[in-house]
Amino acid sequence: MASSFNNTLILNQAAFSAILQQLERGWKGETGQSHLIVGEHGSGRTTLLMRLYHEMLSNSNLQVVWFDGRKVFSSETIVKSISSKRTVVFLDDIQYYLQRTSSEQQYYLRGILSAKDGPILIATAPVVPSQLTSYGAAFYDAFRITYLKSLSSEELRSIVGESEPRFNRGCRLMKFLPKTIRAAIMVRDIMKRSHSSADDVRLLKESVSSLYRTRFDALPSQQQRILIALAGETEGLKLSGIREKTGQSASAISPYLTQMIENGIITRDSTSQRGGAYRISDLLLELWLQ
Amino acid sequence: MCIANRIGPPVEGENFYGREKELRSANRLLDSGHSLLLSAPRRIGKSSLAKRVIDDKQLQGWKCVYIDLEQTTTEEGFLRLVIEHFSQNQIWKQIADGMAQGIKALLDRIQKVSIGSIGIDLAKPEYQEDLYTTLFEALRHDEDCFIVVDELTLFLGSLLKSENGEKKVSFILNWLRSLRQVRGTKVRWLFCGSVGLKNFTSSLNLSYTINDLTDFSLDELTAEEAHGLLTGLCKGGGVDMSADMVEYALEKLFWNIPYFIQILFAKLSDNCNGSPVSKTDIDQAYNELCSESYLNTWSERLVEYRDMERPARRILKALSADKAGIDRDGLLNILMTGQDAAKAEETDHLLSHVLEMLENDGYLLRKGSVRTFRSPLLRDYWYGKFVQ
Repeated sequence: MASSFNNTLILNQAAFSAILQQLERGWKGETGQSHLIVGEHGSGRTTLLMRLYHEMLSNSNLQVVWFDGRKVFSSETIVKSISSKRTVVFLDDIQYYLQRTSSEQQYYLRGILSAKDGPILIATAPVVPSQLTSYGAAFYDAFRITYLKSLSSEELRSIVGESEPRFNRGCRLMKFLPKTIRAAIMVRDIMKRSHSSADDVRLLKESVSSLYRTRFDALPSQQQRILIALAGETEGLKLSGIREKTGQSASAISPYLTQMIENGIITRDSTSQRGGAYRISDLLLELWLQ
Repeated sequence: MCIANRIGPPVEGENFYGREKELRSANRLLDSGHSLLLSAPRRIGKSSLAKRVIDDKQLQGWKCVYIDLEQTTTEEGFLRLVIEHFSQNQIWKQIADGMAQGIKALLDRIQKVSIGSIGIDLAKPEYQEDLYTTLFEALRHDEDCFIVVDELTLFLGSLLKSENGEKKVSFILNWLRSLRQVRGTKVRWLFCGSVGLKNFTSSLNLSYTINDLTDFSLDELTAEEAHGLLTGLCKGGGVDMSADMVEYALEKLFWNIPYFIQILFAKLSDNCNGSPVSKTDIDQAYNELCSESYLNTWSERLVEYRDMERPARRILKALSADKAGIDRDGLLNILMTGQDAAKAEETDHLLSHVLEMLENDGYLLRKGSVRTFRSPLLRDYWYGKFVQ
């Protein structure tokens, strides 16, 4: 399942193989197919992109260029890297480029990509950018999108340890975290330092404390109040419960609840049911609050 | 043949045109003891067909009832409609037949109450059970009877949102099933509605409550019927339209359901100045329809999709802009826009459900590997309203 790559644990083998197969097809005399790898932060999309980049480096028929999307502010930056040789452009975090450039600039790049024997673009993004799915946008329907899946149990086991006790400890901690490679590596490192299962949770809280403290402090006090009320409520709380715990009226807290839902801080059980319960979205935040 | 244009309410009598094959099929199935489930896209003519079947059955001497549940959103309202309609059409057993005092008293009480105030106290579960049991026992099964229940899904959808909604919905569906399961019953039922009862019951794990019903489908008119309808409307409305122009209009509509033909004709009739209808007139009428409110119901009814309304709207918006259609991967990418990649599998599953519902309800059509709007008129309306 896992293979080594310059001593770094790399997964997402299925996605790697699928895209590589497409790239090796050659596309001679045709417009190349652009690819987008979509995966949440920590899912290994940059590492996957890098693997593909290194794989293509060995192909002498191609020119291979790498861009860190954070450093790309115009289409020209990309275009001037293209030579007469068929070029494969690897663009990590394409969302920066899409947010910063005008539609004219994007159409310009799209035009170059659409030429026969033109460059091929392989990019990554944390989510599918709307610029790729809005009809009329320059890059509408331009990419074949590969979604990186959540970490499987087998993959988790390969990171935290094969033994059942270690795996179970790992699972307990992963309940609070996104199912990503980075989270699993963090869990592995915590387990290395920890003396026991109880200690695992304490160390986890410590490792995220400064991040969550900063986020918590930035919230309006009414939202902080709501979060404190919801922390530890395994069934969630309906509006009446939140009112009771916070001592605030519905009119005082409802606007904040709406905002918190929009910002993804809390969720509400199915909106089709009256009196749905509210919950904190991030289980790790909830753990930290308790 | 002259046909008057009746837009909106079910079409009856001489203004009902075509559907010969469907009428034969429905009558044959009912005669052989089947009860039917008619789920078809909106505005396709389900209620009109149901009423026409009622006419046929009345000629055969059957007792017939038509109940439109669109009028109510409560259980009390449902019971009132059932009791009143059954009473009016003598579906209950004869009161003089030595019935239990309780049943007589109940029906007397209900009949005395004016519309809007029913006074049935359903708060106590034991009273509710008694009431339904009483109604079950009071229904005649020894005479040929045809009961049409229209918009059952719409009603159940509203009921679902109320307190203990799921329990109430389950109870009513099971009760209706029990009425159909009476041994030797001569009562046949037709449940029709624009929102799929199958989708609805399946989502609540209640498919078993309707698995005894025979599926009956209704789609666009045949080419000949569509031609005949529009020609009849022209004759009835005094509009001069040649056969070629009728063809042009029908090709433009592409999906020839009676409602679309009716509203296009209405627009042509409004704009008519006595001259023969031309292509320009048809194009103008079509464009005006796209920007008016006739098709709003297609948007308004999406609220019945509940949690699937939002993804349905996103899909329809995207498809209205892309006339060539969009393949499944493309639709998935649209729904995944801005979402965590980890949700891809869940979203793909959701996409399957939404596409099934949109296809069943007549919004979409699968053409090879892509989905498109079934009706260019609906697509152009959607684009004008939600994209432009």
